[in-house]
Amino acid sequence: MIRLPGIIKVTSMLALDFLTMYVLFNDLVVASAVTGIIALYVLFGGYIALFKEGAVRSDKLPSYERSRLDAAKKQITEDVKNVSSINISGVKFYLIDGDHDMQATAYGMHCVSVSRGTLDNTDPMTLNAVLSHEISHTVNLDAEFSRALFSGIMMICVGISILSFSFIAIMFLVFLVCGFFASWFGIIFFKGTTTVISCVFDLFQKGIVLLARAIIGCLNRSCEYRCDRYSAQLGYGLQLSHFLSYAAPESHRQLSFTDALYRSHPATPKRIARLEAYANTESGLVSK
Amino acid sequence: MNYIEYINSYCSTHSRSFLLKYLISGVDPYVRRVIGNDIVNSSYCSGKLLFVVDNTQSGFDYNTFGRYQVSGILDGEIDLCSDLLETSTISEISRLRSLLIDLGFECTKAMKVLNYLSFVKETESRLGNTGALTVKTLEEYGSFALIKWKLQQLVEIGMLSTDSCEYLLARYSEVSAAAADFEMFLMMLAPFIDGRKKPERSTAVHLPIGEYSSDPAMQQVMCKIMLSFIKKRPDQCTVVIIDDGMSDRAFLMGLIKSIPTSAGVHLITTDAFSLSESDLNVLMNCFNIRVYSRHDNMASCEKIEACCGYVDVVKRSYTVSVDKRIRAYNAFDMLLGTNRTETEISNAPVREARFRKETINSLCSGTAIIDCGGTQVIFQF
Repeated sequence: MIRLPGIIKVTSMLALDFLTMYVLFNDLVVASAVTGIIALYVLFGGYIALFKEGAVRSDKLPSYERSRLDAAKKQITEDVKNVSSINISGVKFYLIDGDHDMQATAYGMHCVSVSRGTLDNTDPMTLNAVLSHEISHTVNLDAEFSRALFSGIMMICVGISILSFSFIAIMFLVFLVCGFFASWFGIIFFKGTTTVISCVFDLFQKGIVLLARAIIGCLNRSCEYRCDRYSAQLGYGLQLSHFLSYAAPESHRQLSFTDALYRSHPATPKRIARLEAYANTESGLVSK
Repeated sequence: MNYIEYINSYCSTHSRSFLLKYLISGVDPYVRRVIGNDIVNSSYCSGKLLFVVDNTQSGFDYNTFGRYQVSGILDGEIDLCSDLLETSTISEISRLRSLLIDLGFECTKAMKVLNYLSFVKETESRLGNTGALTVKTLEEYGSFALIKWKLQQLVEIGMLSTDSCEYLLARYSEVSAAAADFEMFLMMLAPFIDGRKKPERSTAVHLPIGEYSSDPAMQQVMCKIMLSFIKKRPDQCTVVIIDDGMSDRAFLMGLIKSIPTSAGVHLITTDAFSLSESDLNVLMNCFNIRVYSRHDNMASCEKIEACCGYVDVVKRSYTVSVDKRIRAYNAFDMLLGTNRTETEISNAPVREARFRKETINSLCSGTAIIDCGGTQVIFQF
């Protein structure tokens, strides 16, 4: 049930992590071990989030909630099979009972959760629309990719910190061997030099994080558009756009420039407009 | 999933096999056409007779309606009620009585007409005619002289004594005034009584109610004739009511209330929500599948908004404190989000309309809300 591009992007990120670790430590065992830990986090990190949010799996829910989620799963499985020949019967639905916001989340490992607010305030078709959007995240391994990206950037930052520390350590040894610490001038010069080195590395690190977050934001937003489109392909575009119109989170929150740059979800009116455009194209094709 | 699959899934979820009755309200012609076609096709496939109650001013000039062949109820082709003048059972008496009252006869006068008809029937049976009364038969009893001549015939052949003849003539004289009045209305009833053929399953009977908006009596007669036909075989009939909301709709409500529950009835109207609250309640109970497309009237949109219910929306307030100086935090803070203090306040949920009236007022072409089993779903047709 996983699409090939999803596998490729997650595997690429893990390979990048392995490479970073190997360059840093020049040790195959250490690089493999760290990459293995990252891979475990990438694959099973969703369960930590599910546990933290108090999610309850659909088969352990009371009959009303269970029947609604089961009906949605049955219908979406059929729709996905018809549209993209993927079998998603292995997907697991969870309910976050304490969350009264209207949202749903894909955690990876075929886990998708809906909030109590979504379950209570949506009709069956709208629930299908929301869940099919999340299923698109699942089949494309978006949650795994996000965790892999996060781990990769973290590893790069750790690497830069180690490099920065190594440079300062080398400077210290050079100053020590050359006897520059014998005078006050040498100590002040060492202090100044290490500050400059750490500042350069710090700036480099921050630059990477800023760039990475901007790129991640862009990727996430394009993923959201793709998932909206997928939901529309399954025939739930109208329901999804209606759901977004009244349930979109953060629509009432004033964003700063960086917030807007890093945001994971595109502006709701843009998403609705794209869904409408897609629906118009589809209806045009049908009428032709 | 199209709307039929959705409705079927609803039916299968609730393990019910009930008769689907559609109320289609709104001005979107595409939605009306799609659902209308499906209703007509499903009715045709079930082998049901279709009645098209046309309460529009625009007229109806189709020879076919889907796969149905259309016949006008006033054309005199279809025999819907050849036994209209029969008065042998209570239900027949009641049917004719209510018709006469609609035509402006008082109760007593209506009973006199019934007596007159039973008198004619009795005389005809004595003469050896046991078939249903027709307009032609009644014309033979058009005056006192004709009746006297008929009774004389019976006396001559020995079927009637002279005393009985005088008694019957006296009886006739009691009801003759009402009979004369009734004969004036016979022209109105003739198309329903003297139809040439029984309606077949592939026939759609068109009732041009809207064309007779200035003649309520005629509207009532057409509806009553149709109802009397339907009541005999409710499960074999489908009624599609087309309404443009321009005429007086009180009688339409009466019609909807009178149609047997086992008969399929569907209402296609431009605005059902312009009806009074009590009439609207009747519609909501009568039609189990309700479809609302775009409505022009904002008051109606507001009623649909209320009808579709509300959702609890939790609004949140945020306060985010960030030290924007570049050296105030490091890259790990940025990555882990620890460079800021966020305060989030969840306010009490506010109730917001599931479908805002502005949304209903501006629904795109081919888009409608399906209200089925207490759940409202927006659909693209």
